[in-house]
Amino acid sequence: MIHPSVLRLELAVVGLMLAVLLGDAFARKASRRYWGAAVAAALLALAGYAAAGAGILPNASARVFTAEGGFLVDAFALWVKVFALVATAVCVLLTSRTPGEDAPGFAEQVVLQLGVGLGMMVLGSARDLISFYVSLELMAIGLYLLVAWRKEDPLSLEAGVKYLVYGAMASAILLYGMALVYGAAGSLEFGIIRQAAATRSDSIVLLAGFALLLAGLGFKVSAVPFHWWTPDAYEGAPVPSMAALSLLSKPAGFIILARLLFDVFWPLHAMWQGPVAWAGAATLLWGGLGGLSQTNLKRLLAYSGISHSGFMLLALASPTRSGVAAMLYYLLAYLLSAGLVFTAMCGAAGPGARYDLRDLSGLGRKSPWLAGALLLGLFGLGGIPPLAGFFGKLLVIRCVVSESGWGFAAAAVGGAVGSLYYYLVVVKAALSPEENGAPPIAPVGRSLRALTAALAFGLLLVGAWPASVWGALRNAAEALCQ
Amino acid sequence: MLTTLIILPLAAALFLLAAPVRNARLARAVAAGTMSLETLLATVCLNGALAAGGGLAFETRRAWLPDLGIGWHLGVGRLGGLLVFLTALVGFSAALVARPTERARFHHALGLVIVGGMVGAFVAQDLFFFYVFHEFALIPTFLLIWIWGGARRREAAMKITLYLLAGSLVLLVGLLALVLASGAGTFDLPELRAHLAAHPISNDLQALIFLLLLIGFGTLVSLVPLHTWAPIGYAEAPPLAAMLHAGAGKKFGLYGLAVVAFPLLPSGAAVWKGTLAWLAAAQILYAGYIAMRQDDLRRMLAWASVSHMGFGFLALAAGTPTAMEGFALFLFAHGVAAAAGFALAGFCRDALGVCSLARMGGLAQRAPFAAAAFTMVALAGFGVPGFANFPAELMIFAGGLGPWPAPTILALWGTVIGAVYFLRAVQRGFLGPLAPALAQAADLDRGRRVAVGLLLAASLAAGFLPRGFLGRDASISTLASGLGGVRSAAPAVVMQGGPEARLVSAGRPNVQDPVSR
Repeated sequence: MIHPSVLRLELAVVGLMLAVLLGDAFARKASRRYWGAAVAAALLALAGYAAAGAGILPNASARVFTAEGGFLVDAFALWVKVFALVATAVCVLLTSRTPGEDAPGFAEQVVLQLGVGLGMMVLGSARDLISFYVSLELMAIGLYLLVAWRKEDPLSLEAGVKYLVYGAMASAILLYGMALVYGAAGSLEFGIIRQAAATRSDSIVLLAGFALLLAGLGFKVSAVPFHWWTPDAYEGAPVPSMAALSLLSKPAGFIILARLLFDVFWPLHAMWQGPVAWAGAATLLWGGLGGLSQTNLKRLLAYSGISHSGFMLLALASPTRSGVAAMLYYLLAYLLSAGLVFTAMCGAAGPGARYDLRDLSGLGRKSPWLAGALLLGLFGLGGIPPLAGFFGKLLVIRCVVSESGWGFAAAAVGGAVGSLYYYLVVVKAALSPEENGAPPIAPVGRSLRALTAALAFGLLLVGAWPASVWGALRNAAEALCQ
Repeated sequence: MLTTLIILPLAAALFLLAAPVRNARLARAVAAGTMSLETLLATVCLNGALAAGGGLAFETRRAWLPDLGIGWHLGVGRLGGLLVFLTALVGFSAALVARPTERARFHHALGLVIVGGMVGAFVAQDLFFFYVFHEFALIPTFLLIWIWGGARRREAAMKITLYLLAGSLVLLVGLLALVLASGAGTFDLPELRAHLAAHPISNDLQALIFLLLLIGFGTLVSLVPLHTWAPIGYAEAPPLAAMLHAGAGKKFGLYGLAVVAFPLLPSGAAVWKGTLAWLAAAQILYAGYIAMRQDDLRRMLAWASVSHMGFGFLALAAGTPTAMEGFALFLFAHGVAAAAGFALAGFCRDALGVCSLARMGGLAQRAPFAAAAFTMVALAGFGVPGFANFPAELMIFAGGLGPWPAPTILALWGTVIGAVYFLRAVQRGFLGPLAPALAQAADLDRGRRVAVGLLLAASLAAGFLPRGFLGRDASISTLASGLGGVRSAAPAVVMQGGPEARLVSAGRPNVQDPVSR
């Protein structure tokens, strides 16, 4: 039995996708000017509705099941939906700047992004292996297309192929793991798998399946050693698709990872804590050091994304509620800061831009607005108070010091310093005087300004007053760790 | 009161950014006006702290994130009050001195943000805000150096920012470890102090956390060998940034060691004290000898400032009441002298276009005020009686001789080296025949005169009347507990009579000082 009312948020997004497709078929060109803004506004309204409980959850500790127990709505799932809706709104607004609302394929791109967001929303509620896999593939298929979107550009195609091949491999690994887990537990349902993990923790089949699941998700979150695709995919993808990769796909990986670690495989936590911490430290250092020699902003941001994944893995490596809350806060801070950087990138150059660092020269003079957004976003990523990134780092380091130990704390500091250096390199490029041949900048439109202001406000609010979101995060963490 | 003290400069900065102030002079007037008001408030704040008798004055508490034990808790103790006053005073002079060639509004706004952040760090009684406010003040420093610095400004800005942010991160790990290890579940400093007095952390862990804090705070104060950011950073920074950082910002590290690391981790401190004392002596001599060889006036001052920080570390390592009294006065004395020095060096670079000692002889003929002021900075710098540095350093030596005789004697030699490089700078730069580059040089303008005069007057005032700045019964116990809570076991040394009598009694430390063991 499926109760459609439990799926109301997801159904609304499906409705929105249909509306955009139909609109694309019938609407006249002149009426499309504010499509991006309209879709984003609808998504944000839905996000507000979801944040208020969406009429599904009577209170923060309730759990509502449907689809034979395969779909669960609890405080954690609702938080994921809010996050996914906001992140999708950011991606849609970015698309409305590059390639632009009147460009061919705009509507399709928006529909695909909505699909990716929808995948993440379902993933947050996944309660068995089927809905887990289907929602993850729903995201992946949209992203395969989005990454290769600029098909006249060989770099974008290369990125698309690379992402597709790696992604297919990751899916295969995941499926293999799922099959083993299914075989060991005798059920697809997370509740029963958890019982199996509790009673038969010595089953080699179950453990192998679990390990394969972790490896497959390691690809999604670009954890070392499954991170190789990231810089190439980021470099080739258009900026809005890059935003979808890092604001939707990566968070989705962390969400399902948290669900697996803290719910399904919680009985094995003594076993997974160490490997997750080691992977986190390695990822952090790789991201922090690998970005040092980059001369292309997109590749550099890919390494930055890897280093942030390391931080979030380290948060998850502390098997406590505060670990989950720290990871969720960190994701939010990452959404706001990286969103600002992507906004500035979209504003600073047209669709075909390569974003070499030297192309940024003179940005401070040409557009103080965009340069300000870029700086704020980079400082947010670097974790400068009072921006949210700082409090996220503080929460993670607190977890690391209390649960993982000094070596990991040292790795966190080392990785963070490395990434601070390359953020400063970007700041340096943006503030340096204009070089000859740097392309001019089109005036910043109203929707992009609104997006910048909203993200900057959020970054400051969440950072200077974390209590504004802390209650929701704590509820989500408590709902997950039952 | 304290919230106003933090918000006032920040609000003025926002106003400067938002208001259509096109005129550079007007921007300077707004900044200087705000800072004069801030200085007045800081005076009230210092008086309140001195009157509070070792407790906290003007306390404010608000809940912020109770789940994690973080609260908005402000309060000002003696040491904090003195540093707030120093920050405001230096901020005011720096605003008067700053002459950016472009984007004056932005320049002054950044200076105001630094002042707001530093004041916040000195009055925060919650370790979270203590850390956050300091770090908040770092980014404007970076931007000031980056945009308005000298020829090698990019390199300098990158270096100073990376070093300071990396040091801050180590510090963050140390502070978090301290809070977690204490088991108190709070970042509140007085509560932590009370809790740790009753339930101290195990000795091994204390030693480790203390080392982290020492590296973190030490980087911020340019403790050798973590000092390499300082010479280039100060040499390339515009006067506003150099004055604010050398004058006030850098004191954060020493302040943090004095109010967090030493009182909360006594047995950790005992492990590292010896190393610190020897490092301090090494720092004074090493940086001093390098300062002797500098040709660029600003580099010379930067190395001198690194060298002087050694006295602060020495005082902390000694930890006797006399040394700690000297420590507090030293922070103020060095702050005003360094700010005045960088103001004058900035004048040489910006207004005269010459900063190399080899090319600027005879400036006294064209700019007598500047020459006189620099001579006074030099005299203050190597601790001539009358300036605040003299009683401060004397008390540090007197207090340090008991616990660490050999490093203290080496440090004494540092004042001789100081005399060499400062007098050499005076002689080469300001005396002798007029250098051709300075034929058209003009003297300090009115704003700069007021600024430098004020700083030197403050140094003289503190030199003649240290009690007015330290309070009547100042000692380690009241200074440390001025940040709340537990009094140290050492009985306070009550000094009577005028400053001379005080110095005499300070000169016999072993009679009165219960040397910390």
